[in-house]
Amino acid sequence: MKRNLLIAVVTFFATAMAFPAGSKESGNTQRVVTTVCRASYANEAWYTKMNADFEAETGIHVDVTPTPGNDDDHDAKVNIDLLAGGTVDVVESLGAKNYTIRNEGGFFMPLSKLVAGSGVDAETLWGVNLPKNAQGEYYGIPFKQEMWCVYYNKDLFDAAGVPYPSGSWTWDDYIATAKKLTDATKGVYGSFMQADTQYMYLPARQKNVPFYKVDGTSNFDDPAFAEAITWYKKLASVQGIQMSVSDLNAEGASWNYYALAGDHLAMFPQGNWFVRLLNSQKDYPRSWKYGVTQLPSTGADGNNNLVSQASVSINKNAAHPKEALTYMLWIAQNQWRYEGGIPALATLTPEQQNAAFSAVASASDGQVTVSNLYDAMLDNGMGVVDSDIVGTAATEYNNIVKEEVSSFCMDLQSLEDTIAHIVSRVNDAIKSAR
Amino acid sequence: MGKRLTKREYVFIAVMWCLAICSLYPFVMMVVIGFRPAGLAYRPLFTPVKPVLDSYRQVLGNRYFGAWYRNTAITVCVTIVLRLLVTFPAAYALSRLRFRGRRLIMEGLMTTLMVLGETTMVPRYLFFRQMHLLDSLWVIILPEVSEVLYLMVLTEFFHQIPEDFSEAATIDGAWHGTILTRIFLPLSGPSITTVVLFSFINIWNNFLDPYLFINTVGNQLVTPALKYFQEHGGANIPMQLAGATLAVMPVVFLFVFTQKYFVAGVSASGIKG
Amino acid sequence: MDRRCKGEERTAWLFITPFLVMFAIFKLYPILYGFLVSFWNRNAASRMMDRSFVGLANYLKVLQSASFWAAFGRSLEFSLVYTVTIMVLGVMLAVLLNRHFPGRTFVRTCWYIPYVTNMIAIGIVFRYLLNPSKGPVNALWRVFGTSGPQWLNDPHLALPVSAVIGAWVALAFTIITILAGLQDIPKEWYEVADLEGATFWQRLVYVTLPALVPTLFLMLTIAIINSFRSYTTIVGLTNGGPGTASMVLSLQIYNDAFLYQKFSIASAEGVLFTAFIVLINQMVVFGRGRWEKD
Repeated sequence: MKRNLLIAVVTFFATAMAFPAGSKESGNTQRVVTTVCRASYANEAWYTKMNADFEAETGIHVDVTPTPGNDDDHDAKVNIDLLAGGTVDVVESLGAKNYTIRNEGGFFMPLSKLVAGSGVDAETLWGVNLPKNAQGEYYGIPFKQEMWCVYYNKDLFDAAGVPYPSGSWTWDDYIATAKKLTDATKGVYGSFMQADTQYMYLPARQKNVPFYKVDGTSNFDDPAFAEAITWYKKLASVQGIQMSVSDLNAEGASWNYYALAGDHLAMFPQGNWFVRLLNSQKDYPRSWKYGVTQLPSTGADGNNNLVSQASVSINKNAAHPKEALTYMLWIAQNQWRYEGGIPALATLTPEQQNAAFSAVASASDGQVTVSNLYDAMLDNGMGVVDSDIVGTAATEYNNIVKEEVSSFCMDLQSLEDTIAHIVSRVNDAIKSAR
Repeated sequence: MGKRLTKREYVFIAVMWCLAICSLYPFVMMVVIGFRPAGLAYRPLFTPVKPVLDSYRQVLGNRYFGAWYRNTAITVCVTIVLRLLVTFPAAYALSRLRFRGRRLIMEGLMTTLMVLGETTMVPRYLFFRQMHLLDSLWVIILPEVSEVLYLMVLTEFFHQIPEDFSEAATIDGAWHGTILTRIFLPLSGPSITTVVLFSFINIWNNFLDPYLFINTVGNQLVTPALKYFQEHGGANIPMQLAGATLAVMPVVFLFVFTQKYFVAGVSASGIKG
Repeated sequence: MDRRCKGEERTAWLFITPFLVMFAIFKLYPILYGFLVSFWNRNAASRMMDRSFVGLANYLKVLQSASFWAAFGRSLEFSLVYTVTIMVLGVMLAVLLNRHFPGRTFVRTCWYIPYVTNMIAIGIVFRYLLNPSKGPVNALWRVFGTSGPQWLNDPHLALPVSAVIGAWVALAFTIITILAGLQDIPKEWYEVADLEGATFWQRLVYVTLPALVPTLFLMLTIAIINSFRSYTTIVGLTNGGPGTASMVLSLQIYNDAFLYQKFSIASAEGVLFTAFIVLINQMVVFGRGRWEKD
């Protein structure tokens, strides 16, 4: 019996070894470029179409590897892979924070010479948006800008008899509107903001209060931040217009929650990238109509919209550097058309603006018009500030704020303690990072 | 055995069966809810809901699904073979042969059982990175081959084989290698089965190591890949549960049919003290 | 005789060398390397291959960091709840399952099965079952119109509940071992107890438990070591919990290393963690020695 077992095991072993050989069937000489993407992108139609068009135009096949997990996991995994000397060719970094972290790790190739050699005029196209360092060298090209706006559920507004929000408004207006829409008995909330750091410091960010003091330590003890996180907490606990942090955790509310559960959530401030989820009936089937308006301001002193740039870079250890350059430049100039975002070009001609928004407007089947989008995102009379924390130990800073403010919102610690914890932990992190 | 059971004994049996159901309940839910459409995941257990295969179709249709199973199967088989090849003679040496340093080696190896994988995440990552082992199946296989626990199990089993078996052969002047293969190997059926069984269970269910060291989705093993469904599922509970069921089923089947060896392995591994 | 001894030694080394070589390379070296890394300054992605010696700086930073001690405290809490649960439940179930009754094998199997399932699957199922507002477990509370406990979303319950679930999963090993230990108790002892009119509890306390002491001590050692293996349990169930309520030390090490790229700090934390586990283990062994002297 045992001999048979042994034979069976060895045979299985032998046949199993044949499998890895079989899966690497790249006998053809087709040109290939590799990249990583978030798990969600891999299944969305625009992403596959974009890569298919690239292949049709250049003959280079795009080999996409999705990473498992949510956004934080994706960023961590990409960093780990780059640290491990991975040979992925092209890497997209969403937000200045991720770009800075990866660049400081020395993962990216310097681009000024490469781009000049390919005949593309980076200065004219992207100008000041290029993340240049003190020597004028840059390691990534911005391919889209994300502006924040407020999405709202038109059906809920209709049912409550409230006129749609439009034009400039303040957070007090927002709260008042949300109260009219909230109906706790039906489980309807006027506002939805996840337990994400950007919401927690939103008003302070709009007032452009810096995260770091001049000497490099944390500036979170600035009273503006204390005000901001109290404001965030009160949205749930006092105003009652949105779910508490505990409820959000229980729901497992992640990045795409509003598209899945927006039928009972009236308003949702977020970046314009979210529009691609709301436009995709296939991926996120919904029965309710959405509208778009601009982000509220805190008043005259905080009339700024949140903006975040995404850049594309080439890995220093890229396996196919030539194809990587082609793909990177193509992405930088064309990605926005497919995802329905706003390009990060230095100047946007009216035709380009129209192109950016009409694609989105037509994909929405009339739920939003070009002028809705234009008014909400570009022509809103607001300045711009970066939505992320950028600087020393930025990831840790971000996580510490999220952890401590979540505890504060769950009534586990007082406001003073929260601020004190954040400042001391962040300063520790900054010290170790130096 | 036809004596009537007292009331007390009926109560006892009922309580025991209730306890069994309690322990089985999560798995029953895992299987049943996996067959429901996404919106009805939270309805009570006995609601008449028409079972649908959507979630399973989604899970099985994932383009990496076959790869995950294949990778895990290969890892398990290769590890078991190499592990037996390497550990078997070592166990024989530790239990049967006298040599200087035997006690030292035994005690040293046992001390390392206290060093958890979770505390050595960083050095292992840096080390495997330098050896260029990351992102391949060998990063799981090679360290697992010299896992001390199985050496202890086999050594205990060998201790229990009576001396006279090998005495006769030694007197005839046989080399230890022959004793090992001709005498110990045939007798070790149960212990080898135990090692195979435990290896299968532990490697299949190992989360931390493949999660840390394998980065490409296509090279990943089954258990870390389940986390992929947690993200992609999000609010889609039945799909996550379907994925969980498919990941758990093979080991559970194996266990149900080899429970005897499992129990024998645990109790006979000399842990009695 | 001499020739045989030497031959035996040569053979022994021949047999044991492959194992020792693999062990030395893949298990021993990383442990020592971790020790080394904790003395270097690899605390940023740009300094990944740094080798500058910074002495005990990392250890001092770790020991002065409030978040380290908080995480350590959580690991201790997890370990305590886990160990108590697994020992108490293990002994109780083993004693109950030792009696003969119809369906005993089935009941035993039901309690062994969690051991062979993986923690991520268990995490998915329990997150579903313990959903405070919609899950089946809180249905009982909903019947009475109140909302039940928040379970994994309650900052005070998340860690203990995870520890209990972790203990439930690992029960099989404990039950089987104690069952084996129970088989060894001579029947005569029970007969003597019955003759003296002992109740069930008296039998348990005066006959069973004392006889099981060696087994229990060994199970305690194993349970304590396993109780610090909390990474997968926490990641599967709460991923650090509401806020930082279940951020145990293993998770902290992972975050420090892979989210913040502070490899040397994470190594130092790992070394301190291991040292603590060894210390606890020694204390248990010492305690057992003292017990057996009585």
